[in-house]
Amino acid sequence: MHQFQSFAPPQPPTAAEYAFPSVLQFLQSEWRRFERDRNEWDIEKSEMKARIAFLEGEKRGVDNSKIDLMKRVKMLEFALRQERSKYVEAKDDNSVGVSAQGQQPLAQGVTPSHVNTKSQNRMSTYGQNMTQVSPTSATPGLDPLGRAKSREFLRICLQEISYLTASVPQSIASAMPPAPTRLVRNESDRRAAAAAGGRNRKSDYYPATQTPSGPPPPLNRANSVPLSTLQSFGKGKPAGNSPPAPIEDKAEDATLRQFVVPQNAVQQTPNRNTKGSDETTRSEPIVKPAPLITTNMTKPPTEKMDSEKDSSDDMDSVEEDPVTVVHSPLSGDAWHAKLQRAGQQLALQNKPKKTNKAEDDVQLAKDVQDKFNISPERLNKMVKEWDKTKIDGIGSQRSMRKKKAKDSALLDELANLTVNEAETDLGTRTGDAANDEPARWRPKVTLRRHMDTVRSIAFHPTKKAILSGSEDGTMKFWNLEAALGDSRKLASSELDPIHTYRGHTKGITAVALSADQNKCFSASLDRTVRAYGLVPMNKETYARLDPSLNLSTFVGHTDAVWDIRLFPLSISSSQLLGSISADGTVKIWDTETKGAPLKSSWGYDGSDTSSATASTGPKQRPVPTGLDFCPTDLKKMVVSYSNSVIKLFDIETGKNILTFKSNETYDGTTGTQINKVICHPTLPVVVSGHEDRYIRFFDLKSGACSYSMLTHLDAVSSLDIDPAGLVLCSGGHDASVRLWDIASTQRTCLQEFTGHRRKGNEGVCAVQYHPTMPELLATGGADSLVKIYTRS
Amino acid sequence: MLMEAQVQETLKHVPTSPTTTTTATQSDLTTDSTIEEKTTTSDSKTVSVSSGTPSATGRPQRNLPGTKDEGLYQWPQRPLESIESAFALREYLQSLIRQDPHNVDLIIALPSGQDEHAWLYEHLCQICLELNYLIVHLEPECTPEVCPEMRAEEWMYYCATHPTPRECCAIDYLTHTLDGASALLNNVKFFPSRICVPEGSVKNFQSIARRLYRIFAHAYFHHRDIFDAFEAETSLYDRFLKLSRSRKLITDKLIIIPSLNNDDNSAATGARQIMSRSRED
Repeated sequence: MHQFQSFAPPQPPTAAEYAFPSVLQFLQSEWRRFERDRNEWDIEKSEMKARIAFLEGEKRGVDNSKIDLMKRVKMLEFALRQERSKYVEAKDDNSVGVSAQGQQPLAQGVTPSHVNTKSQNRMSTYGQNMTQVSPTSATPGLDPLGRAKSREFLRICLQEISYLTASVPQSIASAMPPAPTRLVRNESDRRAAAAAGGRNRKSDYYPATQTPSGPPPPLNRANSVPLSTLQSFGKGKPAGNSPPAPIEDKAEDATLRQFVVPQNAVQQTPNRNTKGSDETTRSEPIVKPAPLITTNMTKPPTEKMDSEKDSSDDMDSVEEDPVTVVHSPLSGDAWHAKLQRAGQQLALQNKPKKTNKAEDDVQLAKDVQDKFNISPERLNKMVKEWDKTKIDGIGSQRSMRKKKAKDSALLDELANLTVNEAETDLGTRTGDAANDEPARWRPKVTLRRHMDTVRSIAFHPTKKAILSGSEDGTMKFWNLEAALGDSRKLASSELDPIHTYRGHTKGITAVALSADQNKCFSASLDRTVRAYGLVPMNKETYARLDPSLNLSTFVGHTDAVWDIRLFPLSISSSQLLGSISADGTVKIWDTETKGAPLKSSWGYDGSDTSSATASTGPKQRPVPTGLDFCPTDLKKMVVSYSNSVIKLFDIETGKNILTFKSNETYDGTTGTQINKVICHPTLPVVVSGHEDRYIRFFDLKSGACSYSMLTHLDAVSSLDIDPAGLVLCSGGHDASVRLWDIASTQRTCLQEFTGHRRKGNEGVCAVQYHPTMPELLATGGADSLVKIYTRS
Repeated sequence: MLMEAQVQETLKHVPTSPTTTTTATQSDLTTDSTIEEKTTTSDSKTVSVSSGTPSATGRPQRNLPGTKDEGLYQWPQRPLESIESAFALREYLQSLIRQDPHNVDLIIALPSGQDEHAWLYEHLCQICLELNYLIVHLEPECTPEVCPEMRAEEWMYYCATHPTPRECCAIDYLTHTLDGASALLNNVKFFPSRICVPEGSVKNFQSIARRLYRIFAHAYFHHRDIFDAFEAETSLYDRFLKLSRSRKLITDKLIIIPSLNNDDNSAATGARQIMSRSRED
């Protein structure tokens, strides 16, 4: 008692006489307060449960619609590919000596969106874009069982809440301003302004809660509306609004929405389903503001001790609840700012409160509580099973009582906390999309049957099979199905190729595989390119030789052929193959043509001045060292030369369209030449790997170097970009394989591992991603091995 | 030498159809191919002479993309001790062969301080590698129709790569045998290291050599012109035979190919004589 006296000097009259009745009264009031609090918490808990169920159902719906959309995207892509092949076919038919005009439509038709031959993985990025673009294609009725279940649960919860808050007159509820939170939740980018308005209003609620006759909070609507809402779910279409609501929703501005809220709130649900993955990232932070809100929420009761029995008080606290479901569509920074603002506001509000006479009792009670150190413990016990955010709220509530100066700081902290949580959550979310990004590649299978350096590898586009070409003059085809599927098989680690292709009289420099034609190709130092039939996947290693596998030999180059590349698009009647040779020429072959497969051939200056270059002595001419077709512009191809220059050619005419500024470190020797050039699968970007250890990025349109980096300890020998277009894999003669995050501006190295042992001055000679299975990577090296890596 | 080069060149240009070499194509290709042959050999000689110069060692020893024919493998022969890689022996062997494939005695001679079996292992690997090219030449001619059975003179062989030995046609036997030998040589169970060969795996050399010998034998008795042309270019059989004899891989009674050259001049001259004789027939 004595202690207490000294503790509460602001109340001299009460301090003077601590009679039994007053203590009793105090205890009674405390008990009542606790009861009320508990009641409140129960309500809140049930409401949260309802919310969780609702969100879960929603998520399921979103997932389903995402899957559905993916299917659609695939279908559309397939159709698009068909259209394109038809188009190119048609174009091929009517143009032998093609004019530039004839190609224009092809270019236009093809440029805007690349051809997706390795679609599967890219699909994910596609899907995300697509879902945002076409909300109408969503079907809200997916997984009806799960949705119905959660809807049922929601209905029960809402009924409970409506029972608890039944005292609110329906008329008031309907007259209330709209729930900004609900509006905001469905916002799209261009509605940001409207959303901000809504948020401002929300912050207005803070002072409002202090006036007993404050504006009726939103949940009442949620109370009065949802029943009809849920019914309207069953009916399929909401009564008031027109059917294509989701689209109109977007067009409506905030003010209009205020009046149609009842329907709007309903339609958010189906509408949200259309948001796809975009929405899933957003729906996450919804719960996050809860800590802030709870501090706010647990306050009102202490302010209104005198009217605690009043049911309207109960109602008030309930009414505030919807604030807990405030959706935070803002980025982390904006959230932070907003929370800070709210915190300051709160701090200001707390100041006048202190002087409030009615609050003295509360203050006293609180002080007692703190002094005896009992209630916090009990409180903690009580809320033990509750989630952490609420504990935070209570903690902050207590400290807020003590020091008003602390308020804003604490809230800041809280805000930080929420923001951080939101961010990490967002991080994991986005990680879902590219989930396997941080996963490390690990060697899974080693193919050891070659007798010399493996120079080139090519995956089967859809199957777990790989083709490897070696300097020993053979090309081997491996079925990885069993080795990758069965982990026990790994122990033996002795996999035989299902076929060995022989035909070249010197080492093989490059291989290519066309699944559509069921063919494979090999280029060799013996100046030829050979075409073989692909053996079936179930062929036995030591089966009878099938002479029909040897299809044709492309003779035409007069020096070693160093690289070949298949045109990314195959048409039933034609499949183009580009080859480069040390004789200085680039040749385009039509692999389906019998007799004279050579379509065109040109030298360093392209087709235009080929006659002029011949006179100047071909010995001096730069020699092509790498080539690739541009998946983003099917009319063109890039060729790198031994003088470190990259040129862009028109495939049909052989015209030199553009010369890249790629020779900045060229010193006149082959020590600075380009060893490999590849095109990005989805972007107009060309990547080159240099003998002097550089990797450079170029803009396909302008030819300007956009980025240059030193990457390996020795020459870069090989490059590949993963099918999603996010990671660049490079192999070097320093025997290492490195993965680069090319989606970021820093282009950091994600992983580095020693791929192969060095033989001579060569290390890793080939790297290749599986075009459709993002979990497969292969490397070939000077140690005659092919290694298959997986990540999971 | 010149004529062998011709034949070799014609073989390279043979399309996959089983047409054999014709005299017309031979004469067509005579000029440029022989010239090239000359230049490459002369190049390799000059390079080997200038091997000690420090300027040459600065360039990385690899064939960069875009390297022309005459520029391939044009780096100085290095002494074995200076090669610092896991494949030192193989690199050394390959450079010896590139330098002069017909100097068989030098090629098979064990480098000082090296493990006998490791050297033998590298040789067998290299022979398997080069036999690929012999099969490439045989393939157009040695079809299942022409050689339905794997024969060499009066012997007939069953293919042992299958669980139960099977009567494969010749070309299948050849490819199966070669693939099987490659698989065995690359099997980490038997040959885990290139530095030394485990004692238990040494016996595999004999079975590998015995089977590889049959590839030569079939080519010699049934596709003599191809065999001779190939031998003239690579001296592969000569190398194989000398290696096998000196290392006791094959017993003398299994050797059915008559000795090609009694004089030690070169395999090429002997082969040329034989070839011209066979053509006259």
